[in-house]
Amino acid sequence: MPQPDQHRLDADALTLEGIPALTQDALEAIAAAQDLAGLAAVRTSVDGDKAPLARANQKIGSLDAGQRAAWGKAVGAARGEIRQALERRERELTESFEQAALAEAKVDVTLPYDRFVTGARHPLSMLIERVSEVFVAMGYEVVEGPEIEAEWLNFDALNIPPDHPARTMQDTFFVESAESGLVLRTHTSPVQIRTLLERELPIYVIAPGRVYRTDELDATHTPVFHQVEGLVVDEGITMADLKGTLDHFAAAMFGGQVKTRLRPSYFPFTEPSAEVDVWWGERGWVEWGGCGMVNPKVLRGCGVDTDKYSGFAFGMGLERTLMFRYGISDMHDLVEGDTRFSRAFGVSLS
Amino acid sequence: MRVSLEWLREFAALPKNVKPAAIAEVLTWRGFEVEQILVQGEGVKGPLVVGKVTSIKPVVSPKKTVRLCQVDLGPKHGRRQIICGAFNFEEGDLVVVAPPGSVITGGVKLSARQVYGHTSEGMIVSAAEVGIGEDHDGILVVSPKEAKVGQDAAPLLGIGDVVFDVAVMPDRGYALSVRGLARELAGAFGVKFKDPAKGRALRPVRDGSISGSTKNKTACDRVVFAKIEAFDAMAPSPAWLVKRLRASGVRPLGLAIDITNYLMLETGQPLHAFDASKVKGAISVRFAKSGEQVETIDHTKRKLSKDDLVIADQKGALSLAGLMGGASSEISQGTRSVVIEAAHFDPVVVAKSGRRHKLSTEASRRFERGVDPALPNVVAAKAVRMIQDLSSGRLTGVSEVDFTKPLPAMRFDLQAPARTVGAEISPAEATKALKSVGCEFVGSTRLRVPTWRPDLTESADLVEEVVRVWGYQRIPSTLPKAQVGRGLNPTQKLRANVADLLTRRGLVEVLNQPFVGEAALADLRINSSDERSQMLAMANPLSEEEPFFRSTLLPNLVATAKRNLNRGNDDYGIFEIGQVTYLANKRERRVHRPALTKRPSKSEVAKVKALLPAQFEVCGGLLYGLRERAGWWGEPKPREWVEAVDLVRDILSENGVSYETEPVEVAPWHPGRAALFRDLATGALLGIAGELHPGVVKDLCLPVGAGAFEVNLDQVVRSAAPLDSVGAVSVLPIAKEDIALLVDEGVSVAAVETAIKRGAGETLESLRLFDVYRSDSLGRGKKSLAFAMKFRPKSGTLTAEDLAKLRAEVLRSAEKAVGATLRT
Repeated sequence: MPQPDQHRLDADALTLEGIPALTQDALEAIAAAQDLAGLAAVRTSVDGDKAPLARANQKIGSLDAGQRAAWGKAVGAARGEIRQALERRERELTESFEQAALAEAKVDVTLPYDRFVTGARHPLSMLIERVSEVFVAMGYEVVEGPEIEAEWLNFDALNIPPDHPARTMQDTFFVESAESGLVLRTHTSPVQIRTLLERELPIYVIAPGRVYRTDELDATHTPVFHQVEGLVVDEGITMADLKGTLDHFAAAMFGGQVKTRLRPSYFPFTEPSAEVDVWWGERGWVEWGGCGMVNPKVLRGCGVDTDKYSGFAFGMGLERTLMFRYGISDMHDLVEGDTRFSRAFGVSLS
Repeated sequence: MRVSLEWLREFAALPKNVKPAAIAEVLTWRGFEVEQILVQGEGVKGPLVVGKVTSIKPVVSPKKTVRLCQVDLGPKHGRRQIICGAFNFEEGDLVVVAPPGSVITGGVKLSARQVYGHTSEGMIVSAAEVGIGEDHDGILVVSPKEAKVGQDAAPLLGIGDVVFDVAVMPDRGYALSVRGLARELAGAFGVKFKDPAKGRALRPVRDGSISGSTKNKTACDRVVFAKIEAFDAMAPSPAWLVKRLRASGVRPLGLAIDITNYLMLETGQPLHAFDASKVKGAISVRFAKSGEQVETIDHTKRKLSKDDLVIADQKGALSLAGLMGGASSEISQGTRSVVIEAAHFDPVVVAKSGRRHKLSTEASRRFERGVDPALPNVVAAKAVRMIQDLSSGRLTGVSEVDFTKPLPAMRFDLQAPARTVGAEISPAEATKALKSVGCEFVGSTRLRVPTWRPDLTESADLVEEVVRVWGYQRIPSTLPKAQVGRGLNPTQKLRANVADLLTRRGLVEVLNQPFVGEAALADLRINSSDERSQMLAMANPLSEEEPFFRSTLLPNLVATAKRNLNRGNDDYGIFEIGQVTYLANKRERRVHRPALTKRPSKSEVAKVKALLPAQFEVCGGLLYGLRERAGWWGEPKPREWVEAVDLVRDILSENGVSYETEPVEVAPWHPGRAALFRDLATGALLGIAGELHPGVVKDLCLPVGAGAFEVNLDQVVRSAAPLDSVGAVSVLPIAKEDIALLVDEGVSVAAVETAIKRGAGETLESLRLFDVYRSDSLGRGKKSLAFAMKFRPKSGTLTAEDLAKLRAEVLRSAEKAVGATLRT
């Protein structure tokens, strides 16, 4: 059996001296790899099982002790160096691959994606919720009543007797006939009576809702509109309390800087009565709603001891409130249900 | 009420330099909103000159005959020739001329021009041409007693006078007069007030020429008749009177009528003048007899009811008391004798009569709001004197009946205003305020309200007077102490939840007006046997086509959807939350009106409410348009009928309602594609959802496949079960099992699910249908339903044997309940 050349390990004719050149070739091949696939091929040829250095490594054990150390050291160093280069190159190529992929995935971020339709609330419903929130925060509760109402509750119990001129002030929709005793409520005030007859004192409530008058629909009138009624009955309630409550309400609706005034007016169910005006810049004072101290006649009719208790009530038009607040000039927009109108408000009132 | 400032100044000694706007503000603070400040003849710059017509020549043209007038305008403006189309003047009359260069109403500047072949130098003007009235039909003629040739006509006509248009509330009848407003202004400015109603009263003259009576002391508690003979009906009304009438928007109609109108405006006491020659025998105030008729001066023949109060003579009704005179006794140019009537009528009687005859007049507005019962005689006396002064006449008869009584004195707590307002208002201030509005104190805390204030009947009324005089602007601003409230109730929370849910799902909320017609229901194929066709009609609808209150939200939703589609808003479904009423006939018809003096009993309140039809709060929606739009990502996805059903499911389950569904055939839905939802426990109807009937869709031109739903929110609140407690979230390992069951086509998924749940028992955590499959190999009339089941053990781990057992139980249950077999 021929003794192998001490410098050559096998048929590859690898010599100890040839290792640096071999290493250098491998490093160059690694550096030349342009993508991860190329690098994988290079890896197989320079660090695969059949690579010269791997084969050399397998045979080191068969060398005699004198040679083993030198070969072991040289092969180990070379393989270490190559593997480091492979790893480094792999990192580089991965990174540049990712960079390229990201660059390639770049899009126009202004591209619209209005794929799903989004709904919207009607601003009046949202206003009712907002008003409720303001008063609930003051400890009020929200009460409601039917839109088709007993004439007695809509008028008589509110100190509007059958032939009183105030009855004709409000153009009433009568149900079935003028004698049926049923009307479409002309205001939310019947809820005051319902509340006084149903609840224990003290009473702190608001009553938002729909009301009806026989006005033709035009830019400023509508036969169907919304009001919010307020009713407080407690010991020692004053007109100052009424003014303060309305000031707070106005500030919540129109902003903290809003100015209000009460001026004398007439409602059969309040005495003294007042109109609430809001200062609206160029338009001057604009009427916001009616209010007053609950007429003792109304309280007595509901069994309230007027020596002990007093109260205030107010009623505001919500269409009006919304029209002021958002510069809505035509009532038609509020009643026609055009989806573009509601969508301008989205899902919350600012 | 329109009134000129110069008229008010006659009775309230207002400071000379006070601006109209300041007066308007004071009136507003007193409760009389000034709706407008007007200027008589606004924009008319003149000059307007009094001229004498010296000659008139007719000019005949093919179109119309006019007159060429020579007018002497005095030394400054000279003589002018003017073409005039009016014929209500003669040679020698004084007229008002706008010479060339004059600016008349509308800012029109006149110049000399050729008319009908003549040069016309200016214009002889009518009231309308100088902006002081509406009347075009004649030019203004002025009396030589009041004007001279060449003088400035503007002051004579009241041009430039400031006029307040004052809104008077129904409780303040007294303020529908110069007397009432001047008193308020004098009080507010702290100046002297002269009462225009003060004066000598008429003494009865019993020579038999007039005899009056009242047959009903409540309907008419005071009436005065005064007869004047040798009256000159042709005497003109003086310019000072006419200008005040015009400023108040009242057209001059001849001296007698002008005087009654003038005194009504000045004092608030309506008067009526009859042609005495047309009045036969004694006059009385009485209720009409049934079948009686009267023709009023508006030339309307009116059938009278026995609740109509009339002024009548021997022959019958002459006029409608407090409302309008009769044609038969109307003053005419030939009238030579006059009867003046001044009365105090019951406001309710006049109001009812006015309503019955659909008549509202200047007189009735005042009587309805309360006229001072102290006035009839003194104002009648003024009328007589004015007639005598301005025309001629002899007072030949006066007859008065008077059943009025002085009002009793009432007690008033002078601390009440301070207590009511929550501010310091001293008893002295309160006293002063009440005196200023006419109250008379009898003792320190007892007072008598003035006769012109029938509205002041109790303490609160007097408090308002004090606060009004003291100043609403001085009311402080405080808040009542904070209360312990319970927040929104379940209905209110539900409404917000439902609206949020539907909005999230792409629907837009609308608020429709709830009026519908029968045609709209017919369009939805809702027929007369359906309870929703029992609708409540308005007695006085705005539109005869839509007289009913809606019984369902759908017709109005359809109309709104169509409006949106027509406007190109085709991608949004819509929803509404609102009240409906149906089964409208099922209710009590007896009207119950409890007395208002004390709290009605529970049963009385129940009787009042029994009148009301059942009203429900409903949420309804119409689904059409797109769930997803088309775009660079792909094709659009239209809404599908099943979404309507799904929305109702979510409304119910998100709000804690246990329900069951069943197929239903009901208009306007597709007979095979509508689901009815019931409360699982009580069976109460919760709602209906599905695809609209294709015929309805076609008839109404709605998008194909449109869906609809309606949910009764009141029932949802009743059916919602409050969540009592939830167990701890289990972290034991889950086991998933799929099962495909073969069932007959007619078996509902709900039935299969119920069977699976029963078989699987408590370990079943969730069940979800993930596929529906039909094929020839399965057999005709069969379908395969594939469910994903998730089992979570109560303890330990489910073994393979446990799962096999559960599967078997599920299968057995489904087999038994719906004849299901395992699909292999």
